[in-house]
Amino acid sequence: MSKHSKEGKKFLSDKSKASWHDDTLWGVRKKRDRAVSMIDDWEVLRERASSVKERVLDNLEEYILQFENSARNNGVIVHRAKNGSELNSIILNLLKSRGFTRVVKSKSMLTEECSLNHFLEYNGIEVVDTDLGERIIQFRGESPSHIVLPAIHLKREEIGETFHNRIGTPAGCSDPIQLTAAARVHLRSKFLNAQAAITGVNFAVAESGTVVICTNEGNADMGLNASAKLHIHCMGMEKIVPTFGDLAIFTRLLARNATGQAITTYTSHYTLPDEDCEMHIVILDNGRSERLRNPIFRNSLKCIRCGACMNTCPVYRRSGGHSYRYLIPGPIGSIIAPFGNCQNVSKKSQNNQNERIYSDLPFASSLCGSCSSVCPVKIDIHNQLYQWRQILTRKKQVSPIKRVVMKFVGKILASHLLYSYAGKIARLAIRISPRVLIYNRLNAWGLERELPVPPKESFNEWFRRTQKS
Amino acid sequence: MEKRRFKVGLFIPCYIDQFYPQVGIATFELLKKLGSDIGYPLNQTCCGQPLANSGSEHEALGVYAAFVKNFRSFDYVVSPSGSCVYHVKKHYDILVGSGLVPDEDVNKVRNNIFELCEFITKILGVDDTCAYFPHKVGIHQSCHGLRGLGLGRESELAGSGEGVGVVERLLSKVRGAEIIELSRKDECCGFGGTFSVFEPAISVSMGRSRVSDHIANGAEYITATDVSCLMHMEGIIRRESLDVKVVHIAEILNSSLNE
Amino acid sequence: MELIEIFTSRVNESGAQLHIAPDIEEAYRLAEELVLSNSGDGERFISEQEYTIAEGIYGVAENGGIWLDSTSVSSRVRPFIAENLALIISKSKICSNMEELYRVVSPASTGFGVLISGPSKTADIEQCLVYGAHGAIKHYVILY
Repeated sequence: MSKHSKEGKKFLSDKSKASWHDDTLWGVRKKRDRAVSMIDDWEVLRERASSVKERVLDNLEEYILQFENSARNNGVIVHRAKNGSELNSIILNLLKSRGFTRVVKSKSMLTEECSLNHFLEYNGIEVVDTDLGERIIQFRGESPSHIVLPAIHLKREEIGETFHNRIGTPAGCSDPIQLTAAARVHLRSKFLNAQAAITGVNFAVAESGTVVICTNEGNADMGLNASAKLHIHCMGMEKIVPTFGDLAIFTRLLARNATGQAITTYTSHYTLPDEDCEMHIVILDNGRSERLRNPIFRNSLKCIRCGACMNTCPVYRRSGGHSYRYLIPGPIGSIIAPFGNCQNVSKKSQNNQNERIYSDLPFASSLCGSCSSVCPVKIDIHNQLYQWRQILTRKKQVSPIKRVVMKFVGKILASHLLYSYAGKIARLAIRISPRVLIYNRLNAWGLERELPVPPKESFNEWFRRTQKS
Repeated sequence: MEKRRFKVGLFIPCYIDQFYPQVGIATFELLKKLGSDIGYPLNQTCCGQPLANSGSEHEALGVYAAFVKNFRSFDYVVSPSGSCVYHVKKHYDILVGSGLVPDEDVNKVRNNIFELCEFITKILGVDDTCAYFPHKVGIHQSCHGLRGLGLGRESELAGSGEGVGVVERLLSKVRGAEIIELSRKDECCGFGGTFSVFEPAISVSMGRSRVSDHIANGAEYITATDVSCLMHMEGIIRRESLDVKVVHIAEILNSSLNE
Repeated sequence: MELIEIFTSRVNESGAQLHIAPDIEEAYRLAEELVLSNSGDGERFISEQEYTIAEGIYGVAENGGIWLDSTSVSSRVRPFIAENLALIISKSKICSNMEELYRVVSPASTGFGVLISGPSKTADIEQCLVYGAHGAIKHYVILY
């Protein structure tokens, strides 16, 4: 049984929570559908977004250079980090050299990719995640189960208990309004005392050196502007868009596709450092340029992290994000995970290690294609999962038993004689075997389903008997 | 519409051949009724999809080549299976240039293979098969047919597009049949080939969800273009003794007052 | 005008309160009245009451958002820190969508710009929508 299969089964065993998770995320998908239907040219917009991203990927280094030059001309300091270690060190040095220890951080999957929080905390820095969902899981020592809704796997009672233990809300209080109000007060004091603010970047505009941050809470902006004087924006190299005209396409797509809102509450554009502040941008590679060179999987770099593929995926909804055991779960995560973006591992072993560890993920899908149909930048997600299956099998990263069985099956199916004998035997076996022989732990199909009733005659046999050729 | 006498090759998928021959029989009879000159290559086996979806595409080349050899002499290949047709169209590209069969034969088969409903509506130009099926029917939109072949317009896309899907078009002309509305129009049933045995818990959960949707909306029958989906849902229905039946669209379209 | 109707719908959907004023003086007077009348809901908000009134540069019909930049506020924190935010926008300054917005404003020239649509919100707890996560709890849009 694969790891995802095992974890998925565990997730499903809590029937009411699993059902709630499925219904709630389907609800987000329906909200997305309604928001999308309000844009007359939605499908055209998707095509345009896809083309812009293709153009960027085809000329990535040029656009990054353009972005860097624009930003530097604005008095912004730009750093490039080859991998997670470098990013972490750059940020630590910026903090240490100024004697800063109090940091607020808004949502950034990229910093989680680099395990930035652990690194900074290990080095004596207080890092407070200010997005409510991220703060909840930070308190609980968990990882996010969804890239946009990080705490979707938790019920309000669980969150209430965490807040009671960590910020002193009344025991048993689980009302979202009260819990949010308490978090507001708690985090406001962090904002007002922060020395440095770290943010993610949704889009980086090459023509002007602008970083664009989209939030509903306003926590990124509070973090940057309430008190902190050192501003650090972390971005993946693929986040570049060439111009504001291009940016417009994405700001029309992102929130609608992600949560069904016309736009996030705040879409902030930071170009120049504020008075008395330093503005830094760190551009991270960490395996992205390698993925770019791969003709099959480079498409996955178009991703704008909307999370819609997770909301629409019937497998994700019924297995939960943690069953993927990777930072980014669901369909897009299943493409990226075996590729590997781990820091501190040499390239060769890194690839093999991740392929082996996450070899189950491309198979954790029925290949229904819903993800590809919702993807705002038209990544052919289900096709990439299919391609991963071929690669992992050829590279022997999947179970040897399965490979041998498939070789055998291939021989049978290529010969009509073998195939029809095998079919006849199988039908006979099912017809005459006692039930306990067929339905047992070894028969995965039969655990919760009946096998089809085997007919006496196959179609082929019927045709030969009744039709002239 | 004039019925041109082109030669149609009938491909019966392996699980229909072995476990649901009545669907193959219905397909054969229906196509004959509609005036097609049908050939059924006796030595056909499988399209190879179970191998490819498990990652063993390279073990399936022999199967692919056999398929092409069996069907290359026909003008059209028709099959009561969206997923098999999708597989041939999309994934037989690896056969091109392999030297196992001439490339033009591969491409001829790939370009002229159709799922049954698509063939009836688009090539034969027929909407009404003079069928009679006085029941409430829920349409399960099998994924490969819907999103892969474009047999309908998937709910993820904005706008109504070209309107009604081929299954609905044909079913709406069946006398007595009432098409019920579902709450999740085109969610996957969870079969997914070997997914159904490698991730059985999630597969069954998805199947149960689909069946419940149909039952909650009054379906007496669930129909689809793919027996694989129906086989999976029927497995759940029979295990849990649920009050709904499955029937392939070919069987509905082939049914008449005499039955 | 159709754009105003669309803008009005989107503003209401975003959780903001829309008010109409006949002219800019009246808009400012109304804004002050609205933010000061909100005495809060008792113990819910322990922090001191703050408010920001600002004039928007452009509004976007497609999403009910209002664009502010460095010239609109005395400091960058003002649009976010206030519990009550009132934004005043002229009917003549409503454009249709983001593509038009980026054409009519200079998004980078003042060094900072933000499009605000509705009060601060979160649904991180069981997808329950709650207003006032960190930014404004009450967001007023006064259209003149």
